[in-house]
Amino acid sequence: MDEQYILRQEDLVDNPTARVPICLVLDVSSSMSGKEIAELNEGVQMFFNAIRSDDVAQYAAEIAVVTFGATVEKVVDFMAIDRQAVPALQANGATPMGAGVELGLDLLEARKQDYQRAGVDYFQPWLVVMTDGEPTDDIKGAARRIQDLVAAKKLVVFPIGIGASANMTTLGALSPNRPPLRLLGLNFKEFFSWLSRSVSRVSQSTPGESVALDVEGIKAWSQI
Amino acid sequence: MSRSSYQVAGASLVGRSHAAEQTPCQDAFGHTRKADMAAVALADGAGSRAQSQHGANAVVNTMLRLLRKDFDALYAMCAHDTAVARQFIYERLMRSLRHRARRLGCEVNALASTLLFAAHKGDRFLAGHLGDGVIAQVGADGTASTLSHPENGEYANTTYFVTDPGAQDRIRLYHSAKPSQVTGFALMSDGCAESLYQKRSGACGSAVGRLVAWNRDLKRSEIASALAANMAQVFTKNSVDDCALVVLSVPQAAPLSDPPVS
Repeated sequence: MDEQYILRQEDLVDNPTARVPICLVLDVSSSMSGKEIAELNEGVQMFFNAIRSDDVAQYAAEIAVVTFGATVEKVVDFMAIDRQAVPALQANGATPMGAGVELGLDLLEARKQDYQRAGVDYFQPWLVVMTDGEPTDDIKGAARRIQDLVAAKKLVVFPIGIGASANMTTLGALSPNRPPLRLLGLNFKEFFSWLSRSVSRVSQSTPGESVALDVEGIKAWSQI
Repeated sequence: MSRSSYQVAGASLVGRSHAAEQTPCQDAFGHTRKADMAAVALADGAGSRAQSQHGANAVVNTMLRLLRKDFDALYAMCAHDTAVARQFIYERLMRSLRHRARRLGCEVNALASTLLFAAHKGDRFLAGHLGDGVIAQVGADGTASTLSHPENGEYANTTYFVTDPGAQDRIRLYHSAKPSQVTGFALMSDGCAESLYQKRSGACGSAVGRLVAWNRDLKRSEIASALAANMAQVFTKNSVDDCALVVLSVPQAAPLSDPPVS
Protein backbone atom coordinates (compact mmCIF):
# COMPACT_ATOMS: atom_id res chain seq x y z
CA MET A 1 0.00 0.00 0.00
CA ASP A 2 1.20 3.46 -0.89
CA GLU A 3 2.45 5.09 2.31
CA GLN A 4 0.58 8.28 1.47
CA TYR A 5 -2.63 6.42 2.27
CA ILE A 6 -1.57 5.43 5.76
CA LEU A 7 -3.06 7.87 8.24
CA ARG A 8 -0.52 10.12 9.94
CA GLN A 9 -0.21 10.30 13.69
CA GLU A 10 -1.11 13.99 13.69
CA ASP A 11 -4.45 13.19 12.04
CA LEU A 12 -5.36 10.73 14.79
CA VAL A 13 -6.54 11.35 18.34
CA ASP A 14 -4.90 10.17 21.52
CA ASN A 15 -7.27 8.74 24.12
CA PRO A 16 -6.06 7.76 27.58
CA THR A 17 -6.23 4.06 28.45
CA ALA A 18 -9.36 3.09 30.40
CA ARG A 19 -8.38 2.59 34.05
CA VAL A 20 -9.06 -0.16 36.57
CA PRO A 21 -8.84 1.41 40.06
CA ILE A 22 -7.84 -1.13 42.71
CA CYS A 23 -7.58 -0.52 46.44
CA LEU A 24 -5.81 -3.03 48.67
CA VAL A 25 -7.04 -2.76 52.27
CA LEU A 26 -4.55 -4.75 54.35
CA ASP A 27 -4.49 -5.88 57.95
CA VAL A 28 -1.20 -4.91 59.61
CA SER A 29 -2.33 -5.54 63.19
CA SER A 30 0.16 -7.03 65.65
CA SER A 31 -1.15 -10.55 65.01
CA MET A 32 0.29 -10.27 61.48
CA SER A 33 3.84 -9.91 62.79
CA GLY A 34 6.50 -12.41 61.81
CA LYS A 35 6.15 -14.61 58.77
CA GLU A 36 2.69 -13.28 57.85
CA ILE A 37 3.76 -9.66 57.37
CA ALA A 38 6.93 -10.75 55.55
CA GLU A 39 4.92 -12.86 53.10
CA LEU A 40 2.33 -10.09 52.69
CA ASN A 41 5.10 -7.60 51.86
CA GLU A 42 6.57 -9.93 49.27
CA GLY A 43 3.13 -10.59 47.78
CA VAL A 44 2.30 -6.89 47.45
CA GLN A 45 5.67 -6.17 45.84
CA MET A 46 5.09 -9.06 43.46
CA PHE A 47 1.65 -7.68 42.56
CA PHE A 48 3.11 -4.30 41.62
CA ASN A 49 5.90 -5.95 39.63
CA ALA A 50 3.47 -8.22 37.79
CA ILE A 51 1.29 -5.25 36.81
CA ARG A 52 4.35 -3.25 35.72
CA SER A 53 5.45 -6.06 33.42
CA ASP A 54 2.02 -6.49 31.79
CA ASP A 55 1.80 -4.66 28.44
CA VAL A 56 -1.82 -3.58 28.90
CA ALA A 57 -2.36 -3.61 32.66
CA GLN A 58 0.61 -1.31 33.38
CA TYR A 59 -1.30 1.54 31.72
CA ALA A 60 -4.75 0.51 32.95
CA ALA A 61 -4.31 -0.56 36.58
CA GLU A 62 -4.14 2.12 39.25
CA ILE A 63 -3.46 0.91 42.75
CA ALA A 64 -3.86 2.43 46.20
CA VAL A 65 -2.95 0.68 49.45
CA VAL A 66 -4.63 1.26 52.81
CA THR A 67 -3.42 -0.43 55.98
CA PHE A 68 -5.24 -0.88 59.26
CA GLY A 69 -3.40 -1.62 62.49
CA ALA A 70 -2.15 0.88 65.06
CA THR A 71 -3.49 3.49 62.63
CA VAL A 72 -5.62 3.51 59.49
CA GLU A 73 -3.63 5.08 56.71
CA LYS A 74 -3.24 5.40 53.00
CA VAL A 75 0.30 4.14 52.43
CA VAL A 76 0.17 4.23 48.60
CA ASP A 77 -1.98 6.72 46.70
CA PHE A 78 -3.36 6.31 43.17
CA MET A 79 -0.92 7.39 40.47
CA ALA A 80 0.92 5.93 37.49
CA ILE A 81 2.37 2.62 38.62
CA ASP A 82 5.89 3.41 37.39
CA ARG A 83 5.99 6.31 39.89
CA GLN A 84 4.79 4.29 42.86
CA ALA A 85 6.99 2.94 45.63
CA VAL A 86 5.58 0.40 48.04
CA PRO A 87 6.85 0.85 51.60
CA ALA A 88 7.64 -2.16 53.77
CA LEU A 89 4.55 -2.78 55.88
CA GLN A 90 5.03 -3.20 59.65
CA ALA A 91 2.66 -5.11 61.91
CA ASN A 92 1.43 -3.27 64.98
CA GLY A 93 -1.75 -2.47 66.91
CA ALA A 94 -5.41 -3.53 66.71
CA THR A 95 -7.68 -4.43 63.76
CA PRO A 96 -9.81 -1.39 62.81
CA MET A 97 -11.06 -3.05 59.64
CA GLY A 98 -14.28 -1.00 59.37
CA ALA A 99 -12.35 2.27 59.23
CA GLY A 100 -9.85 0.76 56.78
CA VAL A 101 -12.58 -0.39 54.41
CA GLU A 102 -14.36 2.98 54.64
CA LEU A 103 -11.11 4.77 53.71
CA GLY A 104 -10.60 2.37 50.79
CA LEU A 105 -14.12 3.03 49.52
CA ASP A 106 -13.61 6.80 49.89
CA LEU A 107 -10.39 6.62 47.86
CA LEU A 108 -12.06 4.60 45.08
CA GLU A 109 -14.97 7.04 44.90
CA ALA A 110 -12.64 10.04 44.77
CA ARG A 111 -10.59 8.38 42.02
CA LYS A 112 -13.73 7.77 39.96
CA GLN A 113 -14.55 11.46 40.26
CA ASP A 114 -11.01 12.32 39.09
CA TYR A 115 -11.56 10.14 36.02
CA GLN A 116 -14.92 11.74 35.30
CA ARG A 117 -13.45 15.25 35.56
CA ALA A 118 -10.56 14.30 33.28
CA GLY A 119 -12.73 12.45 30.73
CA VAL A 120 -10.94 9.16 31.35
CA ASP A 121 -12.90 5.92 30.90
CA TYR A 122 -12.75 3.40 33.73
CA PHE A 123 -13.84 -0.07 34.70
CA GLN A 124 -15.62 -1.15 37.90
CA PRO A 125 -13.38 -0.40 40.90
CA TRP A 126 -11.92 -3.32 42.84
CA LEU A 127 -11.56 -3.54 46.61
CA VAL A 128 -9.37 -6.25 48.15
CA VAL A 129 -9.64 -6.70 51.93
CA MET A 130 -7.16 -9.02 53.68
CA THR A 131 -7.27 -9.82 57.39
CA ASP A 132 -6.10 -12.53 59.76
CA GLY A 133 -8.49 -11.88 62.59
CA GLU A 134 -11.51 -10.12 63.96
CA PRO A 135 -12.30 -6.43 63.49
CA THR A 136 -11.88 -4.33 66.62
CA ASP A 137 -14.23 -1.64 65.34
CA ASP A 138 -17.74 -1.55 63.91
CA ILE A 139 -17.89 -2.74 60.29
CA LYS A 140 -21.65 -2.26 59.80
CA GLY A 141 -21.26 1.05 57.96
CA ALA A 142 -18.57 -0.36 55.68
CA ALA A 143 -20.61 -3.50 55.04
CA ARG A 144 -23.69 -1.45 54.13
CA ARG A 145 -21.73 0.68 51.68
CA ILE A 146 -20.25 -2.42 50.04
CA GLN A 147 -23.64 -4.11 49.77
CA ASP A 148 -25.15 -1.03 48.11
CA LEU A 149 -22.25 -0.65 45.68
CA VAL A 150 -22.13 -4.34 44.76
CA ALA A 151 -25.91 -4.45 44.27
CA ALA A 152 -25.62 -1.49 41.88
CA LYS A 153 -22.71 -3.24 40.09
CA LYS A 154 -20.41 -0.38 41.08
CA LEU A 155 -17.79 -2.41 42.94
CA VAL A 156 -15.99 -5.73 42.76
CA VAL A 157 -14.90 -6.87 46.23
CA PHE A 158 -12.52 -9.64 47.30
CA PRO A 159 -12.45 -10.25 51.08
CA ILE A 160 -9.64 -12.70 51.91
CA GLY A 161 -9.05 -14.39 55.25
CA ILE A 162 -5.48 -15.17 56.35
CA GLY A 163 -4.92 -18.17 58.61
CA ALA A 164 -7.26 -20.09 60.89
CA SER A 165 -8.09 -17.11 63.13
CA ALA A 166 -9.70 -15.02 60.39
CA ASN A 167 -13.40 -14.65 61.14
CA MET A 168 -14.97 -15.67 57.85
CA THR A 169 -18.48 -14.90 59.07
CA THR A 170 -17.54 -11.28 59.71
CA LEU A 171 -15.72 -11.11 56.37
CA GLY A 172 -18.88 -12.47 54.75
CA ALA A 173 -20.64 -9.21 55.64
CA LEU A 174 -18.23 -7.51 53.21
CA SER A 175 -18.89 -10.00 50.41
CA PRO A 176 -22.54 -9.89 49.30
CA ASN A 177 -22.18 -11.89 46.07
CA ARG A 178 -19.79 -14.69 46.92
CA PRO A 179 -18.42 -16.23 50.10
CA PRO A 180 -15.10 -14.79 51.29
CA LEU A 181 -12.09 -16.98 50.58
CA ARG A 182 -9.41 -18.13 53.01
CA LEU A 183 -5.80 -17.98 51.88
CA LEU A 184 -4.18 -21.40 51.56
CA GLY A 185 -1.36 -21.24 54.11
CA LEU A 186 0.62 -18.09 53.37
CA ASN A 187 0.21 -18.23 49.60
CA PHE A 188 0.21 -14.45 49.22
CA LYS A 189 2.34 -14.62 46.09
CA GLU A 190 -0.07 -17.02 44.41
CA PHE A 191 -2.99 -14.75 45.35
CA PHE A 192 -1.37 -11.58 44.05
CA SER A 193 -0.26 -13.38 40.89
CA TRP A 194 -3.89 -14.42 40.31
CA LEU A 195 -5.05 -10.88 41.08
CA SER A 196 -2.67 -9.30 38.56
CA ARG A 197 -3.80 -11.75 35.85
CA SER A 198 -7.42 -10.94 36.64
CA VAL A 199 -6.75 -7.19 36.42
CA SER A 200 -5.02 -7.74 33.09
CA ARG A 201 -8.03 -9.62 31.73
CA VAL A 202 -10.48 -6.96 32.84
CA SER A 203 -8.36 -4.16 31.42
CA GLN A 204 -8.63 -5.82 27.98
CA SER A 205 -12.36 -6.46 28.15
CA THR A 206 -14.61 -4.82 25.60
CA PRO A 207 -18.21 -3.55 25.78
CA GLY A 208 -20.65 -6.32 26.58
CA GLU A 209 -17.91 -8.59 27.83
CA SER A 210 -18.35 -9.88 31.36
CA VAL A 211 -15.02 -11.21 32.57
CA ALA A 212 -15.42 -14.48 34.45
CA LEU A 213 -13.08 -15.07 37.37
CA ASP A 214 -10.39 -17.66 36.81
CA VAL A 215 -11.81 -20.23 39.22
CA GLU A 216 -9.09 -22.79 38.46
CA GLY A 217 -6.49 -20.17 39.32
CA ILE A 218 -8.14 -19.54 42.70
CA LYS A 219 -7.31 -23.10 43.71
CA ALA A 220 -3.62 -22.18 43.79
CA TRP A 221 -4.09 -19.80 46.71
CA SER A 222 -7.41 -20.52 48.39
CA GLN A 223 -9.00 -23.21 50.48
CA ILE A 224 -12.16 -23.50 48.40
CA MET B 1 -11.92 15.96 -7.29
CA SER B 2 -15.67 15.42 -7.15
CA ARG B 3 -17.71 12.42 -8.24
CA SER B 4 -21.24 12.44 -9.53
CA SER B 5 -22.14 9.16 -7.87
CA TYR B 6 -22.16 7.81 -4.34
CA GLN B 7 -18.98 6.08 -3.19
CA VAL B 8 -19.00 3.54 -0.36
CA ALA B 9 -16.23 1.46 1.19
CA GLY B 10 -15.51 -0.31 4.44
CA ALA B 11 -13.19 -2.68 6.24
CA SER B 12 -12.96 -4.61 9.48
CA LEU B 13 -10.29 -6.56 11.33
CA VAL B 14 -10.32 -8.80 14.38
CA GLY B 15 -8.81 -7.12 17.44
CA ARG B 16 -5.79 -8.37 19.35
CA SER B 17 -7.82 -9.59 22.33
CA HIS B 18 -10.10 -11.69 20.13
CA ALA B 19 -7.22 -12.87 17.96
CA ALA B 20 -5.45 -14.15 21.08
CA GLU B 21 -8.56 -16.10 22.08
CA GLN B 22 -9.18 -17.22 18.48
CA THR B 23 -12.65 -15.72 18.50
CA PRO B 24 -13.95 -14.18 15.29
CA CYS B 25 -14.32 -10.49 14.56
CA GLN B 26 -17.64 -9.46 16.11
CA ASP B 27 -17.91 -6.22 14.15
CA ALA B 28 -19.94 -6.27 10.94
CA PHE B 29 -20.42 -3.59 8.31
CA GLY B 30 -22.12 -3.25 4.94
CA HIS B 31 -23.23 -0.80 2.33
CA THR B 32 -25.69 -0.50 -0.47
CA ARG B 33 -26.10 2.05 -3.23
CA LYS B 34 -28.34 2.87 -6.11
CA ALA B 35 -28.12 5.72 -8.58
CA ASP B 36 -30.09 8.03 -6.30
CA MET B 37 -29.27 6.77 -2.79
CA ALA B 38 -26.67 5.02 -0.72
CA ALA B 39 -26.57 3.62 2.79
CA VAL B 40 -23.94 2.29 5.15
CA ALA B 41 -24.43 0.31 8.36
CA LEU B 42 -22.22 -1.10 11.07
CA ALA B 43 -22.81 -3.19 14.19
CA ASP B 44 -20.53 -4.32 16.99
CA GLY B 45 -21.40 -7.66 18.55
CA ALA B 46 -21.34 -7.87 22.36
CA GLY B 47 -18.04 -9.17 23.70
CA SER B 48 -19.22 -12.09 25.82
CA ARG B 49 -22.13 -13.26 23.66
CA ALA B 50 -21.20 -16.42 21.83
CA GLN B 51 -23.04 -15.67 18.59
CA SER B 52 -22.87 -11.91 18.55
CA GLN B 53 -21.07 -11.74 15.21
CA HIS B 54 -24.18 -13.34 13.67
CA GLY B 55 -26.33 -10.76 15.44
CA ALA B 56 -24.17 -7.93 14.12
CA ASN B 57 -24.47 -9.33 10.59
CA ALA B 58 -28.24 -9.67 10.87
CA VAL B 59 -28.58 -6.10 12.17
CA VAL B 60 -26.44 -4.68 9.34
CA ASN B 61 -28.20 -6.61 6.59
CA THR B 62 -31.68 -5.86 7.91
CA MET B 63 -30.95 -2.17 8.29
CA LEU B 64 -29.51 -1.90 4.79
CA ARG B 65 -32.51 -3.69 3.26
CA LEU B 66 -34.83 -1.37 5.13
CA LEU B 67 -33.00 1.76 4.02
CA ARG B 68 -32.73 0.62 0.42
CA LYS B 69 -36.39 -0.29 0.16
CA ASP B 70 -38.06 2.17 2.52
CA PHE B 71 -35.83 5.24 2.76
CA ASP B 72 -38.64 7.63 1.85
CA ALA B 73 -41.09 6.08 4.32
CA LEU B 74 -38.51 6.01 7.09
CA TYR B 75 -37.49 9.59 6.45
CA ALA B 76 -41.13 10.69 6.57
CA MET B 77 -41.63 8.78 9.81
CA CYS B 78 -38.56 10.45 11.35
CA ALA B 79 -39.71 13.86 10.26
CA HIS B 80 -43.19 13.27 11.64
CA ASP B 81 -42.63 11.25 14.83
CA THR B 82 -39.27 9.78 15.77
CA ALA B 83 -40.86 7.45 18.36
CA VAL B 84 -42.80 5.73 15.56
CA ALA B 85 -39.64 5.49 13.44
CA ARG B 86 -37.66 4.02 16.36
CA GLN B 87 -40.36 1.43 16.99
CA PHE B 88 -40.53 0.56 13.28
CA ILE B 89 -36.76 0.02 13.07
CA TYR B 90 -36.61 -1.87 16.35
CA GLU B 91 -39.38 -4.29 15.37
CA ARG B 92 -37.73 -5.06 12.01
CA LEU B 93 -34.37 -5.67 13.68
CA MET B 94 -35.83 -7.88 16.43
CA ARG B 95 -37.84 -9.88 13.90
CA SER B 96 -34.63 -10.54 12.00
CA LEU B 97 -32.72 -11.42 15.19
CA ARG B 98 -35.44 -13.82 16.36
CA HIS B 99 -35.34 -15.52 12.97
CA ARG B 100 -31.54 -15.76 13.11
CA ALA B 101 -31.69 -17.10 16.70
CA ARG B 102 -34.09 -19.86 15.62
CA ARG B 103 -31.77 -20.83 12.77
CA LEU B 104 -28.74 -20.90 15.07
CA GLY B 105 -30.60 -22.54 17.94
CA CYS B 106 -29.63 -19.84 20.44
CA GLU B 107 -31.28 -17.19 22.59
CA VAL B 108 -31.88 -13.78 21.00
CA ASN B 109 -29.67 -12.28 23.73
CA ALA B 110 -26.72 -14.25 22.35
CA LEU B 111 -26.99 -12.04 19.25
CA ALA B 112 -26.60 -8.73 21.07
CA SER B 113 -25.03 -5.95 19.03
CA THR B 114 -24.95 -2.19 18.63
CA LEU B 115 -26.33 -0.37 15.58
CA LEU B 116 -25.05 2.51 13.46
CA PHE B 117 -26.36 3.58 10.07
CA ALA B 118 -26.39 6.52 7.68
CA ALA B 119 -28.23 6.89 4.39
CA HIS B 120 -28.36 9.69 1.84
CA LYS B 121 -30.83 10.29 -0.92
CA GLY B 122 -31.19 13.38 -3.04
CA ASP B 123 -31.23 16.27 -0.62
CA ARG B 124 -31.85 14.28 2.54
CA PHE B 125 -29.96 12.14 4.97
CA LEU B 126 -31.08 9.80 7.70
CA ALA B 127 -28.88 8.29 10.40
CA GLY B 128 -29.41 6.21 13.49
CA HIS B 129 -27.39 4.92 16.41
CA LEU B 130 -27.73 2.61 19.40
CA GLY B 131 -24.83 1.97 21.76
CA ASP B 132 -21.18 2.83 21.33
CA GLY B 133 -19.14 3.65 18.25
CA VAL B 134 -19.34 6.98 16.44
CA ILE B 135 -21.16 8.47 13.44
CA ALA B 136 -19.20 11.31 11.87
CA GLN B 137 -20.30 13.65 9.11
CA VAL B 138 -18.01 15.62 6.84
CA GLY B 139 -18.87 19.12 5.72
CA ALA B 140 -18.24 20.92 2.45
CA ASP B 141 -14.84 22.13 3.70
CA GLY B 142 -13.75 18.54 4.38
CA THR B 143 -13.90 18.93 8.15
CA ALA B 144 -15.38 16.07 10.13
CA SER B 145 -17.74 16.60 13.04
CA THR B 146 -19.48 14.15 15.31
CA LEU B 147 -23.09 13.50 14.37
CA SER B 148 -23.68 10.84 17.03
CA HIS B 149 -21.53 10.17 20.08
CA PRO B 150 -21.00 6.79 21.77
CA GLU B 151 -23.45 5.89 24.52
CA ASN B 152 -21.75 3.79 27.16
CA GLY B 153 -22.81 3.03 30.68
CA GLU B 154 -20.62 4.23 33.52
CA TYR B 155 -17.88 1.72 32.78
CA ALA B 156 -15.56 1.24 29.83
CA ASN B 157 -16.83 -2.26 29.11
CA THR B 158 -20.54 -1.42 29.11
CA THR B 159 -22.85 -0.17 26.40
CA TYR B 160 -26.37 -0.73 25.04
CA PHE B 161 -27.49 -3.34 22.54
CA VAL B 162 -30.45 -3.92 20.22
CA THR B 163 -31.53 -6.90 22.32
CA ASP B 164 -31.58 -4.96 25.62
CA PRO B 165 -34.96 -4.27 27.27
CA GLY B 166 -36.20 -0.84 26.18
CA ALA B 167 -33.67 -0.66 23.35
CA GLN B 168 -36.16 1.06 21.02
CA ASP B 169 -36.13 4.11 23.28
CA ARG B 170 -32.34 4.34 23.05
CA ILE B 171 -32.18 4.47 19.24
CA ARG B 172 -31.06 7.97 18.33
CA LEU B 173 -32.26 9.17 14.93
CA TYR B 174 -31.02 12.10 12.87
CA HIS B 175 -32.42 13.50 9.66
CA SER B 176 -31.79 16.59 7.62
CA ALA B 177 -32.31 18.08 4.20
CA LYS B 178 -29.23 20.25 3.76
CA PRO B 179 -27.29 18.67 0.91
CA SER B 180 -24.67 21.36 0.56
CA GLN B 181 -23.52 20.88 4.13
CA VAL B 182 -22.74 17.15 4.06
CA THR B 183 -20.21 15.54 1.76
CA GLY B 184 -19.85 12.24 3.54
CA PHE B 185 -20.31 10.03 6.58
CA ALA B 186 -18.08 7.65 8.49
CA LEU B 187 -19.36 4.98 10.85
CA MET B 188 -16.87 3.44 13.21
CA SER B 189 -16.95 0.79 15.91
CA ASP B 190 -15.41 1.65 19.27
CA GLY B 191 -12.17 -0.06 18.23
CA CYS B 192 -11.63 2.44 15.40
CA ALA B 193 -13.02 5.30 17.49
CA GLU B 194 -9.96 4.92 19.76
CA SER B 195 -7.94 6.41 16.89
CA LEU B 196 -10.52 8.71 15.32
CA TYR B 197 -12.66 10.16 18.13
CA GLN B 198 -11.46 12.21 21.10
CA LYS B 199 -13.53 11.05 24.05
CA ARG B 200 -12.77 14.04 26.25
CA SER B 201 -13.91 16.65 23.73
CA GLY B 202 -16.30 14.55 21.65
CA ALA B 203 -14.52 15.71 18.48
CA CYS B 204 -13.38 13.67 15.51
CA GLY B 205 -9.77 13.69 14.37
CA SER B 206 -8.89 15.14 10.99
CA ALA B 207 -8.26 11.58 9.77
CA VAL B 208 -12.02 11.15 9.32
CA GLY B 209 -12.21 13.91 6.72
CA ARG B 210 -9.17 12.41 5.01
CA LEU B 211 -10.79 8.96 4.82
CA VAL B 212 -13.98 10.34 3.31
CA ALA B 213 -11.94 12.33 0.78
CA TRP B 214 -9.94 9.22 -0.18
CA ASN B 215 -13.20 7.33 -0.57
CA ARG B 216 -14.46 10.05 -2.89
CA ASP B 217 -11.28 10.31 -4.97
CA LEU B 218 -9.74 6.83 -5.14
CA LYS B 219 -10.76 3.85 -7.22
CA ARG B 220 -12.73 1.20 -5.35
CA SER B 221 -9.76 -1.18 -5.24
CA GLU B 222 -7.50 1.62 -3.99
CA ILE B 223 -9.78 2.72 -1.17
CA ALA B 224 -10.32 -0.92 -0.18
CA SER B 225 -6.54 -1.37 0.06
CA ALA B 226 -6.12 1.89 1.96
CA LEU B 227 -8.76 0.95 4.54
CA ALA B 228 -7.35 -2.55 4.96
CA ALA B 229 -3.84 -1.18 5.43
CA ASN B 230 -4.99 1.33 8.03
CA MET B 231 -6.91 -1.39 9.86
CA ALA B 232 -3.74 -3.45 10.17
CA GLN B 233 -1.19 -0.68 10.69
CA VAL B 234 -3.12 1.97 12.62
CA PHE B 235 -6.47 1.09 14.16
CA THR B 236 -5.74 -2.35 15.61
CA LYS B 237 -2.45 -1.01 16.99
CA ASN B 238 -4.33 1.57 19.07
CA SER B 239 -7.01 -0.77 20.41
CA VAL B 240 -7.23 -4.39 21.50
CA ASP B 241 -10.87 -4.48 20.34
CA ASP B 242 -12.22 -5.46 16.92
CA CYS B 243 -12.19 -2.59 14.45
CA ALA B 244 -14.67 -1.72 11.70
CA LEU B 245 -15.15 1.38 9.61
CA VAL B 246 -17.45 2.19 6.71
CA VAL B 247 -17.55 5.45 4.75
CA LEU B 248 -20.03 7.02 2.38
CA SER B 249 -19.15 9.93 0.10
CA VAL B 250 -22.03 11.98 -1.24
CA PRO B 251 -21.92 13.13 -4.88
CA GLN B 252 -21.23 16.81 -5.14
CA ALA B 253 -22.92 17.15 -8.51
CA ALA B 254 -26.70 17.46 -8.58
CA PRO B 255 -28.43 14.30 -7.39
CA LEU B 256 -29.45 12.02 -10.20
CA SER B 257 -33.09 11.31 -9.66
CA ASP B 258 -34.44 12.74 -6.52
CA PRO B 259 -38.21 12.86 -6.76
CA PRO B 260 -39.71 16.32 -6.56
CA VAL B 261 -41.40 17.21 -3.32
CA SER B 262 -44.99 18.19 -3.89
